[in-house]
Amino acid sequence: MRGMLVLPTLLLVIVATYVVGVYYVGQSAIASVPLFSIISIGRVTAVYFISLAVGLAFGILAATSETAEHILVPLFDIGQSVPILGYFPVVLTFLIVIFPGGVGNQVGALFLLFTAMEWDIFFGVVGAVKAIPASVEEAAKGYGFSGTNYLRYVVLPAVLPALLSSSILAWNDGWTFDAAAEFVTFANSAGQQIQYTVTGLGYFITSAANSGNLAASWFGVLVMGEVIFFSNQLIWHTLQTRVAKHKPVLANVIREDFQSPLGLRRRFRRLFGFRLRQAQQSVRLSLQISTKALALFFVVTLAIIGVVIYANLPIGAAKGLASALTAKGGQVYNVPLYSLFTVGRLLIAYSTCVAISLVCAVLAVTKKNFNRYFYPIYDLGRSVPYLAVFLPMFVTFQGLMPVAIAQEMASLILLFLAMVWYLLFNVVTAARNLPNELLEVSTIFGVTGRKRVTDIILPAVLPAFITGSLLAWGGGWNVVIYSEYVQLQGHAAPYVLPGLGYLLDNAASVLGDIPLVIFFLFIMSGIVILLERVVWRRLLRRVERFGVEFN
Amino acid sequence: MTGILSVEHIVKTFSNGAKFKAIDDISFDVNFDEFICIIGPSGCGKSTLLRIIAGLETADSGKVLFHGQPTSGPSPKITMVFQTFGLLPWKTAAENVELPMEVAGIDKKEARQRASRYLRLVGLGGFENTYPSDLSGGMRQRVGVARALAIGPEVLLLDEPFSALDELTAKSLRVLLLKIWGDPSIPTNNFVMVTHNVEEAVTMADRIIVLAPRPGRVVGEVKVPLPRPRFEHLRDPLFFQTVDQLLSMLSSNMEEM
Repeated sequence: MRGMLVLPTLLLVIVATYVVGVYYVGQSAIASVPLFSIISIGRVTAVYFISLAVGLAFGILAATSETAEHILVPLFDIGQSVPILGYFPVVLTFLIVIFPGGVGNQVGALFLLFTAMEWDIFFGVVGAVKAIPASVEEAAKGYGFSGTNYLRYVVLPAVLPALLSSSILAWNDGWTFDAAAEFVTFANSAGQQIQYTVTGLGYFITSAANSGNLAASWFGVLVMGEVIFFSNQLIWHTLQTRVAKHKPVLANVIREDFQSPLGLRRRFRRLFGFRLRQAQQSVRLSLQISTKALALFFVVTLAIIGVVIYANLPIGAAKGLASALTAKGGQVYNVPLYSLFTVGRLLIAYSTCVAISLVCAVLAVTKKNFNRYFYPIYDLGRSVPYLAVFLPMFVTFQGLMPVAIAQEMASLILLFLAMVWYLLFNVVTAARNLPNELLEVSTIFGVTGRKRVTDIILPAVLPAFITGSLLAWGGGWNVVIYSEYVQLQGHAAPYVLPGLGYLLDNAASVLGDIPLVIFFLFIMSGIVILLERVVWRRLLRRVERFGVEFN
Repeated sequence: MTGILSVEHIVKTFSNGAKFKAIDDISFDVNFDEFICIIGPSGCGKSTLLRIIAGLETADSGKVLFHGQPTSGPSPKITMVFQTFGLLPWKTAAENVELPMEVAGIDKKEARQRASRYLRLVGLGGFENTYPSDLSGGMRQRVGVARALAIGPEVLLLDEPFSALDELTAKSLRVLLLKIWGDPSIPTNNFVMVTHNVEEAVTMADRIIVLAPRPGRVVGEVKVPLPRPRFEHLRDPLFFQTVDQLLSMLSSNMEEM
């Protein structure tokens, strides 16, 4: 029903977009958009599948082997904490050396997207595998599932719902970073600025804004938003409805028939369509093969990631410190103050997000039809590719107000868009799931009005609020680098806002000093990890016991 | 009007998609100092009925009279104990008990004293500053009982208060509840309890109102003939006769079981 409605709407939107494009932007200016869109869709899709494969393989490994967990989880956690845009110049420099002739640019774009998409999937899989009920695991083992069969018939169906939710996050994150991945400027070691570009929709948006064609740039943003929105509706939403239907089947079959092993066996066979005895015979062999394959895959990828990021970082940071203390930089003395500026910027955006989220949480509880409006708005808002929006937004503002204010405002809006959805979604979902009994308690004992907000609703959403804040700050740090330094074509000097992101960009784009970049990256990651560990995780642990039990 | 509380011709229909009559013309009285149990299978509207009495739901027609006056909305004179306790996890046991008194405008110091008195009454002396997450299920329900009583209601409603507890814990809470009901120093002496446990109803109640489902309606009323204290008569043939009588009333009104 929904799908039948979406398709005609999609056609209508494509036609309308085309008309708008021809009318406001001009046919020749938008001629490349269809092809560029297809290229970007292909790029994001390809990286999604790579992330899926890596996330599944490592996620399952980390969730099933304790040794692997101790190595992988911290590794991915650190990877998640390092701001993507910060290490991009480092990675690109490295890749261009390995792959000359434009291939490096392509691989670099893929790698940046990969690091934007991977973490969600990995942690989603780890959580889901660990959440497989012991009874299901025991039932499966009892009937001789292990190795590949266990993976195929128990683990994969079990992680499917979580995999889908994290895929949606990853997919949207991928699109968010598409604009940044397809257009990178930084200086080589001689201090010459070089643009590293690959064709695609993100490139179209950025280069149009750069060359002053605002209409074309906004048009690109519109198309990208549409791609994100319709892919969410057509692919992810459809899959999600299907999986939601599919999931209880497995759970029910196992629970209902647990008393009669015969029935369970027959149902298992019918459900999965294969013969148990054959499965049992091949178990030992396939277990060995799959473990070996996984281990090999693991080692190879680990080596690549390790070389690219982890081995580079400390060495680079050490060199960077030296360079920061001496000649070109002297910039190390700016670090404390500039860090404060950046944190302040994030704090302002965050406060706005907090205010909006808490108001929405209260509304979600008190207003019955709030959800009807909230989720469509959330869907639309989540589809805004905010990194792509930033540049045309800045150029537009620049025409309306002094440039410093324009950049500050564009930066705050960018941060707001990067932070708000995590917080909103978490908080509103928690408010919606507030157990009815607690609301009845508050009604019957006369806890109404402001007291209901302060004593019931806010404490109830607190754990979700903290989780959302943790994610929001991660999202904010990821994009703040992008907004503190803007280099437009035809302008000699870049537009800058004082901040850690500026220091990093300056090191990359003006000085071309990779070790210095790594040094600032090190500091930035340090602050991110420190805030997460000292503030958010600690708070989360403290409120965990106050979490309401959702039925 | 013979008692403290009268339920008169209550009708309630829910409509989520299809209309479904939850309660069809239910009437009964609660006499002074009486312990009433309402029993019936799931879907007979017994919890809904309790919520209408509490003022949490409104009836389509009919009314609830309290001291002869129709009720409108929740009141501190009629409070409730919830099936899954309904404690606020972010408040300590004492804070949970104090909250209704705070809202009712009772002085903070007085509220604190009352909270610790009632926590002692339910056997939780010394647990004032413990959070619900550190209490067992039975202890949590004791806090729920203390909270409902501390504000000094005349009628206590209990919505399957023991069904989320194991049998041994439930047993000790039944003893506690009967002790509180019979205690003349506590102002709350009218109890209305919803349950689907027939033995529990016979153990606790003066009078049992039997409901049948689809639509929820009264199909009988049994005055429990056993003397109190009941726990001395749980092996009495009269106990089993009453249980059998109730069971046959329930099963003759169940169509497909």
